[in-house]
Amino acid sequence: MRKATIKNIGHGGFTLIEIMVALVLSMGILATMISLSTTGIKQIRSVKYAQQLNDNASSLANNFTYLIKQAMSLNVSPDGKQLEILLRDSVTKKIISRKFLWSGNTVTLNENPVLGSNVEVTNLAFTPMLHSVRISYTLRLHNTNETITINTTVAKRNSL
Amino acid sequence: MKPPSESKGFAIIEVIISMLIASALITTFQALILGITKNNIANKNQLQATMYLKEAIEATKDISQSDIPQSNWATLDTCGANCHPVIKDDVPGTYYWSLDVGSGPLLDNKFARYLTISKVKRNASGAIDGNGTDDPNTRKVTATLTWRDGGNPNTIPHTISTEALLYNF
Repeated sequence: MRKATIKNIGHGGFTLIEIMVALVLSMGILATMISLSTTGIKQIRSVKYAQQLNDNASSLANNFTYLIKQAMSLNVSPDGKQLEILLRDSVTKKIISRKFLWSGNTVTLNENPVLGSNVEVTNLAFTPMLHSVRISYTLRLHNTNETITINTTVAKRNSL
Repeated sequence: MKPPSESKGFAIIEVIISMLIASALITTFQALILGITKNNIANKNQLQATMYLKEAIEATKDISQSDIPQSNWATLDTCGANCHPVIKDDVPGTYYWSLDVGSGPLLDNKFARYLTISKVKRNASGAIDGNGTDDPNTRKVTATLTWRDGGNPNTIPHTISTEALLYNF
């Protein structure tokens, strides 16, 4: 069995002050890294949320555009929350109605939700113009502060 | 590096190198986060800008179909090289799109939008041709939108533009 050496006694290892300085520095660096990591993760989530919002905002605009372009006439309710689009059925030639309604933080088209349940429509206003509708809306993802506000206009197609 | 048992603690150069490495890591990570944040803002601005740009074109389509003294096909010719669409309400019970000369106020304090409307020439066969004669029933509209991410005047502005033809049926 080897004998334990006591060679280092008297000058090896660290002094208390060295250990304390090292600890303080390590703690500082660790705290910074944790803070940055947390911020980073939040930002990465935020990008995901923002992308979802952008997709939903585009999708909603496409829904409005698709029907408004084909409209025979557009009727906006006095409170600006409902847009009724009258269309002519290309087969039966009958006039059909499609209604967008903003109520309870959702938008429905003939009472069917247009967007997914994870998206709230916190504001929506239709403004009737002569041959178009101005649409302003704000979307927010559930349980996040991520929002996007869109202002746009869709005109009816020229009637030939 | 000598083991601590043979030298007292770390040399100052070792401490400095460690700190530099830690600083480089932190700086890199911070730059990454900043990049993500900027990208996030840029994506949102891009979509809003696209919608405002689309609105400008749609407003001219509305005007081209309108037939009131304040807004009609002739209104398009008041634009020239630089105008902007505005909503007016001086007709009782009606909002309508019109054009005001020059660039309008910033939209959302961020987006500068303007339109250029020009006449279109066609040749004898009806095709668009710069050497043809003016077509009184067609106009070319160009919408342009400029903005800076974060509203910082020192950043490079983004510009997007789109064109459409308007027909007077």
